[in-house]
Amino acid sequence: MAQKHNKSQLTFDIGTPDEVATCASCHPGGGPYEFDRNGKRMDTIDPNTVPDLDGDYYSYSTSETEHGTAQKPHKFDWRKTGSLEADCFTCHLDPDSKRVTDAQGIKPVAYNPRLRIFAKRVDGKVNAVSLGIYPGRGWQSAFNYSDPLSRNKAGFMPGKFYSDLENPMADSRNYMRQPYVEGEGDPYTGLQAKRKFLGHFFREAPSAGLMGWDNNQDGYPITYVKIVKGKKDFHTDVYYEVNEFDEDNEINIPMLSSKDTENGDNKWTRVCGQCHVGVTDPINHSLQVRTWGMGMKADIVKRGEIWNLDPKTEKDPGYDVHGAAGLECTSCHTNPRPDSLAWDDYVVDADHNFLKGNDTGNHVRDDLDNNPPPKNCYYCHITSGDGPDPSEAHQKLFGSAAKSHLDKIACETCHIARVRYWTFRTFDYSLGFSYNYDNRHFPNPRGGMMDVLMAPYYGPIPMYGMGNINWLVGHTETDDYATDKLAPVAYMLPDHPDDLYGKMYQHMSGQKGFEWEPALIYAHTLRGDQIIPANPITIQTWLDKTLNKVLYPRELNAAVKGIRMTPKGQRYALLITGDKIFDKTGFMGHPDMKPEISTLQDIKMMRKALQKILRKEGEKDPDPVLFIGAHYFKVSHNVLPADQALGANGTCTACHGKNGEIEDRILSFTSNTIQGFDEGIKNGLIFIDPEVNYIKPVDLDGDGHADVLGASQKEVLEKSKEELGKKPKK
Amino acid sequence: MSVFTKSLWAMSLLLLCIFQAQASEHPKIPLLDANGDNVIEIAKKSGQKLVFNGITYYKGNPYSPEQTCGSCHDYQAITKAYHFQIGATDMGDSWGKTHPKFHYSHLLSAGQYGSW
Repeated sequence: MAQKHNKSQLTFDIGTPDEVATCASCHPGGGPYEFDRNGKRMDTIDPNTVPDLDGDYYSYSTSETEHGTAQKPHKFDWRKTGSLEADCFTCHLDPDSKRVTDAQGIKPVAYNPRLRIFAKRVDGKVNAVSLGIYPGRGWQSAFNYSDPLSRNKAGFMPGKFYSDLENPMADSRNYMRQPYVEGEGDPYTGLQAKRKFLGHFFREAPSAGLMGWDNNQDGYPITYVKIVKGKKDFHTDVYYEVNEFDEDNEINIPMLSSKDTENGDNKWTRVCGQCHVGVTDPINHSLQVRTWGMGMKADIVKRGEIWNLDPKTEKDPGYDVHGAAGLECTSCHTNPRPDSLAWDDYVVDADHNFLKGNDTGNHVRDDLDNNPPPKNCYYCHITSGDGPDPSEAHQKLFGSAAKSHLDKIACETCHIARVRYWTFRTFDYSLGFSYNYDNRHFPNPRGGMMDVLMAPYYGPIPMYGMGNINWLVGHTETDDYATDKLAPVAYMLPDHPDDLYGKMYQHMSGQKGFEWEPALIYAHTLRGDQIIPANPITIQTWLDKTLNKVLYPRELNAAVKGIRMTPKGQRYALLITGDKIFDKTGFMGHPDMKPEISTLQDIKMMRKALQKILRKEGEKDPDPVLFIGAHYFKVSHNVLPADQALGANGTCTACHGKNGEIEDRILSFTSNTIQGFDEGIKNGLIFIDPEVNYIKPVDLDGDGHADVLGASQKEVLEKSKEELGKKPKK
Repeated sequence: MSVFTKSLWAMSLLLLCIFQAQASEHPKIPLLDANGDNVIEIAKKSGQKLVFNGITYYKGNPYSPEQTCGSCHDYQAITKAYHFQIGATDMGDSWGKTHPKFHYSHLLSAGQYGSW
């Protein structure tokens, strides 16, 4: 994020406009998306009246961020786009009542539905876009490359309304923040396809969000939005079906109240799930794990959390004993207050601060951590007596060891011993992400390119990119150790793990589903320092030691010209210096077709390219070094039944002993090692974040060669305990 | 108790239930634009319409959640919550320098808005 006051672009990461365009698919608007850092509403300010390089009123274009730039950002006029207000309907429009039914009988969600986005082209140039409604002949898909109309074999009838559940780029509200069309404009890096951004329409985004709400159930939503080309720019027209409103021009809202908790509908789980967890829609049965574009649900990213509302067995992904018993998010994360300002005088208090715990990886509003705490295992099962008291059962199973273990180990540690959905482990941006920006670019690791059959996966939005991202998908036993199974992100389609790419991955790996084991660390808890389950999210990127800043995506991307291929099919990143960094590692014995930094020579080449960019920005003595850091994100949901807990058989071997969880396990932080790692540390070419400065090359299979950067579980427990002594207790 | 009295009680109870059910429902609302005007009134006056299979849409101003909900609810207070502020409440250009436990001086807050 850019500072408010900047002397040069060296402290200008992304401006507030970029943040809204990128991040508001989860964040509801309001606050910093509406008011600047001086408290003024941004769409009332003339950008010519603000200081040069003001972080709230300057931004980079999508093309500049994607391809990288060392130039200064541009003024941004919020008066054209509007500020993004907080839309109360994001959470308070009943997700099930009064849903629109599209021409094919599909009922998308009531708020922010995924819709077909149609475009009218003249001489190959788009001059109008229609959300949801197919105006008629001559209109094509806005995404004619990644999601052409031909994907719908049933065809389209003029004037009818269509949803597009499979397309994560097509959320009605979110499309308005950053609308684009394919077929013209900026080329996808390294491919023939192009895309063009039409502007930002933050002011109109809430109106578009209502396009799943059909109050009079006539098959058309209460609002309809078009984007139309004017003389110079595109603008937005908002339409209302006035017959949805009564004679007073008012409307009865199917309002979701916080009272609607634990009534069997799981509406709040689905509302919270819009941003937090993967959840299946009970009406159209779609599983959504994305927010918009590349945005993933926050708790899938960190801990693989989905919420299975209709599990067939207790081993299904997303099963949770409390979910199965009818509890939902609001059961534990809200606090009834009779003095509420909420209209129903019931649950959410006036400031709308939900009850939060103290994730070790998150630090936003630490003052609210456990203040008061959400309902947790110990509170319900011991303190309040709401749930069954497990003390006797533990005593019976473990005898004298029960008390000491219950004191030292958080309940979640043993009762969430497995997570059965994928999550992220490594975000490797050390070669930027400009080279891998296409949502259709799924390489076939066995050579050749696969036919494009899928709806979009990763979309061309400005701030995100793939880099070399690894998913944590399983647990594996090597010759010497048990460890985490990581897979390159390109090999699966997260919305549809059973789809073509998922099947390909399954074929290669022999793995039928996802099942990983959380890492164990010591952390401060409400009951003292305890062992908790967590997922170490790892980032590999660059740190400029001169300015003590992690380099910005536009700087990383500017150092890489693109991806090229040798005549023999080996891929490499071509740097602006002319140096080449090759793909040398892979997955299951196959190259993954993603070049990566895996030697000291690679580090030196990319460092040289980055120095060139930083000098262009005006830095005299840049000192970029490869940076590897990690935070542990707590795993606290998807609680399994008692018979799946660690030690459920009453023995100690699940954790202790030669094959136990503690003694026999290596945590893999990255999917490949770096040759010359120790020398790189010594020479200052590699910097490891102090929080995890114990990670190092590890030989997993005893062949004498290091395979990954990792650490033993035992070491992680020891080091995290040491680290606790340095942190203030909360 | 006569049949009539029983019926009266039953009717009263039914009315009470209906009243309570209605009382717990949100009252109907107008959608307001940024100026606080009813978007449907404006749209009807605009006269600019599109018709799709007999369904008529009138062009109007985008609705403003702040005006629409904020006329009864304290929008400013509600949006002070951390879900909306996501770091902005303790953000500052020198935040990273004064919070060394986060290691990196370029960070502006501990939240999404400021550290991302």
